[in-house]
Amino acid sequence: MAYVSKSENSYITTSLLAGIRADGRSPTDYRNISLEIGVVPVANGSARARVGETEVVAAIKLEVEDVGEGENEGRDGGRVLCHVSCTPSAYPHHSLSALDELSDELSSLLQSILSHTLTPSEQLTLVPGKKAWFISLDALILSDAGNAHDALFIAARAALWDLRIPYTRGIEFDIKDGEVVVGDSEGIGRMIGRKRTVDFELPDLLDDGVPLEGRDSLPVCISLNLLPPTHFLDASLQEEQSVLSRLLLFFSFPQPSPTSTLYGTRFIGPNELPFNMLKPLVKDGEKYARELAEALNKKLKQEESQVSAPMSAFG
Amino acid sequence: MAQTTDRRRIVGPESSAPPVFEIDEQKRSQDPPLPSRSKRSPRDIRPIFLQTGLISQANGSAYIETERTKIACAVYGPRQLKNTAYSEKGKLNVEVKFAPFSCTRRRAPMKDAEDRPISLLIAQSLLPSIRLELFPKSSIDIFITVLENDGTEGCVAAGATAASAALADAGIELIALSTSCSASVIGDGPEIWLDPTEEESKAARGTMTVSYLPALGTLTNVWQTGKMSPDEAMQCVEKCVERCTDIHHVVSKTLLDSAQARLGSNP
Repeated sequence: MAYVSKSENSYITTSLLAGIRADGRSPTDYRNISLEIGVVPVANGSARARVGETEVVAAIKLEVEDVGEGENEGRDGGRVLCHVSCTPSAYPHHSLSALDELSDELSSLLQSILSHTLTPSEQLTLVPGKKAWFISLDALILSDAGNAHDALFIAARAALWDLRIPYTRGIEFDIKDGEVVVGDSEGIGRMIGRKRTVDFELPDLLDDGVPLEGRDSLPVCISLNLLPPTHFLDASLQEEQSVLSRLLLFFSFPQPSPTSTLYGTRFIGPNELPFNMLKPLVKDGEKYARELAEALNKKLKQEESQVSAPMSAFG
Repeated sequence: MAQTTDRRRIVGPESSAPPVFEIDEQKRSQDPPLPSRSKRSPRDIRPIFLQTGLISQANGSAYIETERTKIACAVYGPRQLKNTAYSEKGKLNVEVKFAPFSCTRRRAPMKDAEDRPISLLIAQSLLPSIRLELFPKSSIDIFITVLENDGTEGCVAAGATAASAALADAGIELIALSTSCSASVIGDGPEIWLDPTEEESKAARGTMTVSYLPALGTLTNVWQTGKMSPDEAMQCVEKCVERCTDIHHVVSKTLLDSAQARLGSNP
C-alpha cells in the first residue's frame, strides 16, 4: 500500500475541500467503469468490473440443496453464500492474516446485503419443503486502486444479472383410489386439486435458463467519502488513505415505482459524523445511486444483446 | 455371548423419524404470527443494569445486562505494541467471544463466523470516541464475552455501551461516552420497535443500530441491514439517538457511583 505522508495528506485534503482532484474529476465523478458479463464459461453467471484501475471478478455457481433446519442446509426460498477473496496481488503490502481479515469483512458485508435482497424468493424454491437452489457467489479482487466496495458490488450485481437459473418442472403424484397418479405441475396434479410436488426434472430445452427476477432492481453500493463539510465519490487509492471516513449506502430502485429502498447502511472510519449531516448525505447518496443503477442497467442490457446476438444465429 | 440377540423381540429400524401428520404440515406452512409487544411500548428499551470494575485484573471493566442479553467486558491498556512497526496512533483491538452456552444452539468454543463482524461493529462504535493520538506505539485491547445472547443487534448495542463504560473505567481519555441503541422496522405499517429481542429482529423487515456521542451530538456508527425506505431509516436513527441520550444518563450515573465507591474505600 502506498504510504501517504503528512504533507501529501494535507495537499490532497486541501484540494479536495476546494473541489479539485488530482485526476481532474469533479467530486461526484466516477472514474471510467467498464463491465463485461459471461467472463467465466463454467459459471452460471459471471462478470468482470473495472472502476478505474480497480478490478473485480465475480462468479456464481448454482447448486440444488435439500431443505432442512440446520445451519448448512437449504431453505425454502433459496440460500445465498457470498465469499470475497482479496488477492495478494491487489494488496502486496498486506500480511496474509490482514488479507484474511479484509476478505472476511467484505464477505460478511456482501452476504448481509445480498441475502436480504435475493432470499426468500419463490423462484429459488424447487420443491417446497424439500429442494431449493443454493447460490454461491464468489468475488475476487484482482487489483485495488481505491473504492473496492463500489467495484465489488458492481461486479456482484452484474454477475447476478448474468445468472441463468435452469428451467425446472415439478413432478407430482397423488394417490387416488389406491392408484398412484404421476404428473407434472401443469398436468394431472392440478386437475385433481390435491397436488403435492415431490421431485423435479430438467426439461431438455434449447435455452439455458431464466434470468433472476427483479435483476434490474438489485442494490448498488455508493461510498460517500466524508470530508466535512463536503463529500466525494469514488476515491482513488491516495484519496482513500487521506480521507478515512466513509458512509456506505446500499440502494435499490424497484423498477416501476419511483421509490427507493435502503438495503444497508454502514459507517466506517475514525472520525465522528455530525448527526445533522446524515440526512442530507442519504439524500445525496440516493441521487448518485439512482444515476449509477440506471447507467449500469443500460450497460448490462447492451452487453447482453451483444453476447446473445451470435447465439441466436444458431437457433 | 454378548452378540446374541433375542429372537422373540422385534428389532426396530436403525434410524427413525417422527410421523408427519397433514395437520402439522398445514400448521408449519403458515407464517408464524408477528410477535406482539405487550410488556413494553415500541419506544421503550429493555431496562439496563450496568456496573463497572467487576474484573479486578483488568485496567477497566464493565458488565451489562438488558433482560436476556448479558455481556462482560474487560479493557487492558494502553500497553506496548511489540514486534510491530512504529505507529503514531494507538491501536484499538476488540475481540468478541460468545460463551458456548450463550445461544439456543451451542456455539463451538473455537473461532466462528459471527464473532468478527460483531467485533468490527463494536470497534467502529468506539473508535471515533477514543483519543488514540495520545497513545503512540501502544494498543488498547478490549475483550468482550457474551454470556447470554438475545439478538445480534442488542448484542452489538449493549456490547458497545459496556465497552465505552469500561474504557472510561480504565481511565483512557475519551472525547465523549459512546452509547448505542438499536431499532427494528416491523410490518408494512410500518412500526418501529426500539431495542428488538432476537425474536423481534427475526420478524423485522430491517434493523438499524446507531452509536452516538450524546455529549457532542455526533454519530460514531450507523449499521443498517434488511429492507427499509430512506425515510424509515432516518426515523429509526432519530429514535435511537433519543434513547442513546437516556442511556448516557445510565452510563454516567454508573461511572459516578463507582468513582464515589472507590473514593470512599481508599480516602
